[in-house]
Amino acid sequence: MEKTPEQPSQVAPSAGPTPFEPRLVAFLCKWCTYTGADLAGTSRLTYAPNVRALMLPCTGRIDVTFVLKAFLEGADGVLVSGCHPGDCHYTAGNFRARRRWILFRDLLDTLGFDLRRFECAWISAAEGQKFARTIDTFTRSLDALGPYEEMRRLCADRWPGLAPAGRPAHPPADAGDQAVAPCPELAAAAAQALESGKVRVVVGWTASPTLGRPRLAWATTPEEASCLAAPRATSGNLARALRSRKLRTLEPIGLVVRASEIVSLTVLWQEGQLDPGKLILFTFAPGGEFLGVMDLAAAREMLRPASADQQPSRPAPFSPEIVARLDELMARPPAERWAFWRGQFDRCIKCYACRQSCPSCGCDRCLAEKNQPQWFPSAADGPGNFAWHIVRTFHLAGRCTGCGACQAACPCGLELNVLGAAMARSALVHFGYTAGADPQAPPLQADFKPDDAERFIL
Amino acid sequence: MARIGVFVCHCGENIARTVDCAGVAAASLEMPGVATAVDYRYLCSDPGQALIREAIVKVGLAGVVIASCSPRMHEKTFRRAAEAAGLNPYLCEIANLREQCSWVHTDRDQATRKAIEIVRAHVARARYNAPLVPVRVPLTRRALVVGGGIAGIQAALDIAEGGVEVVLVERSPSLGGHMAQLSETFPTLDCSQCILTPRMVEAGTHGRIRLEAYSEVEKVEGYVGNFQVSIRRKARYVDPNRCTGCGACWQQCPMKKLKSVFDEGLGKRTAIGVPFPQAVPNKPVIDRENCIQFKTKKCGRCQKACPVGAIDFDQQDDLVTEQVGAIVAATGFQVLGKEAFPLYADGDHPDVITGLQFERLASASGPTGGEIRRPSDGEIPRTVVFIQCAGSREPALGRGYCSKICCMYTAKHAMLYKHKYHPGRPIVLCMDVRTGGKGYDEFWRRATEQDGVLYIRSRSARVYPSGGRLVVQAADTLLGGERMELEADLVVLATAMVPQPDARALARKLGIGYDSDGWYSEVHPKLRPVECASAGIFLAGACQGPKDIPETVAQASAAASKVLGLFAARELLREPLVSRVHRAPPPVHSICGGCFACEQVCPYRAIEREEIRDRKGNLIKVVARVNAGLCQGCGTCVAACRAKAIDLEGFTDEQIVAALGALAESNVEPAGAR
Repeated sequence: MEKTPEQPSQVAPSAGPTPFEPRLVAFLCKWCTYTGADLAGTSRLTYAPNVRALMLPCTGRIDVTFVLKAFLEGADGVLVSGCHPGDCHYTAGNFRARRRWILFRDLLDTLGFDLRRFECAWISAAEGQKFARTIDTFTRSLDALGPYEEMRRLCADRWPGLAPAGRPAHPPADAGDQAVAPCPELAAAAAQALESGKVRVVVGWTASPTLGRPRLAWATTPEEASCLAAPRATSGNLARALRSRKLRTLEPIGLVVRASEIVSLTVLWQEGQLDPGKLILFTFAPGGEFLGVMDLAAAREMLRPASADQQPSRPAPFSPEIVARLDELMARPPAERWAFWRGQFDRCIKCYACRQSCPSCGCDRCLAEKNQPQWFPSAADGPGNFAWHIVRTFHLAGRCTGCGACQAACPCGLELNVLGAAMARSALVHFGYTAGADPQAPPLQADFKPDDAERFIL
Repeated sequence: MARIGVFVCHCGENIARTVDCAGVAAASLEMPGVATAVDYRYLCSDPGQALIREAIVKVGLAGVVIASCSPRMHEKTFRRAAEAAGLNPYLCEIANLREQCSWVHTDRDQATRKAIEIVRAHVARARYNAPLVPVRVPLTRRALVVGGGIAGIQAALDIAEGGVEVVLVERSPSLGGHMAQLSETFPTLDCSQCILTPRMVEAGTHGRIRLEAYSEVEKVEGYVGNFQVSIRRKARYVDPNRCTGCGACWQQCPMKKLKSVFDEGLGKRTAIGVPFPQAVPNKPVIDRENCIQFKTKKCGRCQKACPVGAIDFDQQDDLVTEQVGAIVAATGFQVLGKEAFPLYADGDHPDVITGLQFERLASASGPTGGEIRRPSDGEIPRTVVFIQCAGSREPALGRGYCSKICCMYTAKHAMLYKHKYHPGRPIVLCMDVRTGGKGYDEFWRRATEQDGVLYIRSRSARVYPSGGRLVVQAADTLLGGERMELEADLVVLATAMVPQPDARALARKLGIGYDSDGWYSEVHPKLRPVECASAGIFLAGACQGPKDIPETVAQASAAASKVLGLFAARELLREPLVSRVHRAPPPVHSICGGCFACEQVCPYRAIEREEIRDRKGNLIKVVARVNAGLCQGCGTCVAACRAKAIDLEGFTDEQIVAALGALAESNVEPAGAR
């Protein structure tokens, strides 16, 4: 960051200081902007030669991971452009793209990324002039900003994760180290449900002699149910257990839940990932008392958050501490935010505990493990960690419930819940959407409104 | 290693003036996978194409990158050339060096550098090109027309005359739609029923039209060429095969005071009956809501009166499935009722009527036998005030559009009134008069000049009853907004045309788009005005937006010709640039996890659910599958897929990432270094 544009960049050829030529990658929709760019040519307009255009059928096809990839590959700026709202050849691709851009920009902003390097524009097939003007303006602006050193440095510093500095030990085992005692009411209710055949399995917590905190347990017989314990505030999110295909063969399933699991289950319900009719909930109040056996709708009703919690800027499921942390972070200048997150991601060892603990992360094969194409480096190094956390957070936009299981599971103590909170706030502020608030509402990224408001698209 | 040939076109001087084409070819030779690279003056010329064909055969190329003009210009040309040499056409890439490089840059060095990078990205992309074959879609040569108004009748008749079988679905008991309700039609003043009813009969008796009256579209599945449509035949409680339409039943029906829907509530009807005497089919329907037999089980007079025993009180709705290859939506419109205008005498005064009600008053088959009489007391009105634009062109009421037909029909109404009652005073309150169309303005001039209809440019504010008459309060907008009060015996509102109340529901069933007002959307308002974005579905008439009869008929014929054009081919060939879901042999099967985010974003409902089972038939998992017949290749599903288990042919993730990587490569090694 202290480096000035005059200094040769680390990846530039060593043949002396060549003048800086901004590298601008543009993703263009075939029907409008690509045709508009052709029109600029047939009209013999001239514009800066720095743009490298990639044609796609529709802005709806533009995955934000492409944008990330372009930066990782050395772009100084990225432009995404397509048909004006309402003109999409495929009716609504640009509306969906717009929703993603709004969320993605907010994510980049949270990370302290320089938003001036990511432009979005509606340019029609008739707007050759606008295309030429947009490229010229963007190139000039990138010229003034200089090469994207932060990203290049990130890519040049391989393997910072091995640096010992600042990596905390594994978070201490459950602080309240009293023995995990079985919960008799729960055990009785579970035994009865198993006996009567109302459920075929009850998934809950039980004492673990080695962990010093409760561990996951499946009870399939009334006898096994006797070991079930009450969940603690620090326990993970049991909704994750439903990702097990083996468990899914044992429907109907009984699940020991707290408020956080209920929100996560609602998200799964919303996405069509579970049939609430095949789920029986053994519900605990936030205070730890056993509320009884009920279905998801009843549990939602019982644990509905007090309406006073619903402040416009605070996404409901997130704790005030996390939101305060986000506010504190967002008050810092972008460069400091970038430095903060670099420090965070440098500690990541890519163990994927965050992914494995999350009830919303449920792909059969994660993007991080695909190598055709290799979306981002699989190593736990600068670009690999950076890309992983961006993609993970974006994939959870509108789906993260703020349960904090990822953060609790992280052995490196990354503040992952703050990223989740940033996306949840973005969803709330721009689209009035709260994950798990309404089981009937379409999921955030499956939906759009023709008048989704933004102020950054040119 | 891929064997890719790069061909750089000079395009005469068009590219060569600013780009060093030989230099680009030389630089291309260094790129990984490139087996040959040449430049040529005009690649699109015959010798140019021969050069490409020869290289494909001689060098044994597995892919071709043509660096020339925009792919929108000659992609097809070069793909055909590749195909002629035995290469799959989809292995041919076009790098745009003209429109997006040589024509827009002046510095030769910079332009050449950019050209090399563009070619490099396309070479990288070309290495991941897959040979694709067009999607072949079988074709069911039958059409469905939804809606039996004039649009549907015209489209059905035109299609049937073209030799194709048509299923014509009409939800009311009879064909005819709104046109059957009209008295005379502008600008010729010919009787609406006189010109329509022969067409109705023709459609009802045509050998290739299957009329499903009193039926509704329940569900639509499939895609262009292969739709499966479930049609709900609503219970008529009359066996149409036995019924002869003799009328004995409705003469016996004791419920004689029901308001006639066909007469817009101005006339009477019975609980069993046909909507109007010329109905097609001429078979009655029992109105279950008002039938005494259904309410108390103590009537059955129609059943006793029926000479052929056609009355069947136990009849149930019946679902039939039809296979069709194309669908024409001709579902028409509604007009706003007067209850939408509380400022006009609370919206329920009998002497404030809508234009459609006036049509019934003016119609010889109407409740007054064609005499203009006030609904309240049957008197002939001495002054009739017509209020135009009632509900149209009112952005404040959420309808910014012009209903288009009201200026003309109001002029017609005023004329008809004057013709039927010579001393009458017709006064029209209008915002503007819009009479574009053949013979339309002449018609309006006749109304004002020969028949003395008084037009006042004004905005109407209120209508209230006063001493047995009505007072219309309006502001004269021509002369400074002066307030006027006009006394009238009858007020006729030219109420707005609005979409059918269930238009959106049907659009969702059909998978077609609609605008913010609820009118169905065409692909392009000028160049593709009758096609929907979903292939194989066409639009006719006012379901797309306000239209008069000539436009409706013209569009219906256009839709019919589109259907016939579609059916002219033996089978449908579609571009293979469609999405596909990852599949692999066991134990992976597919990396699709079955979250169906793709299904939620697909605008064409092209995502299906596929169950993967083991040999014993146990379900392993449910994954997405793309119906290539429905997919239009937008790729929205690919961006929505978090696992990247779905990909778009021609624009695969690998191709795009490879192109991005190629751009980075040039970042490290600028062309000058070579």
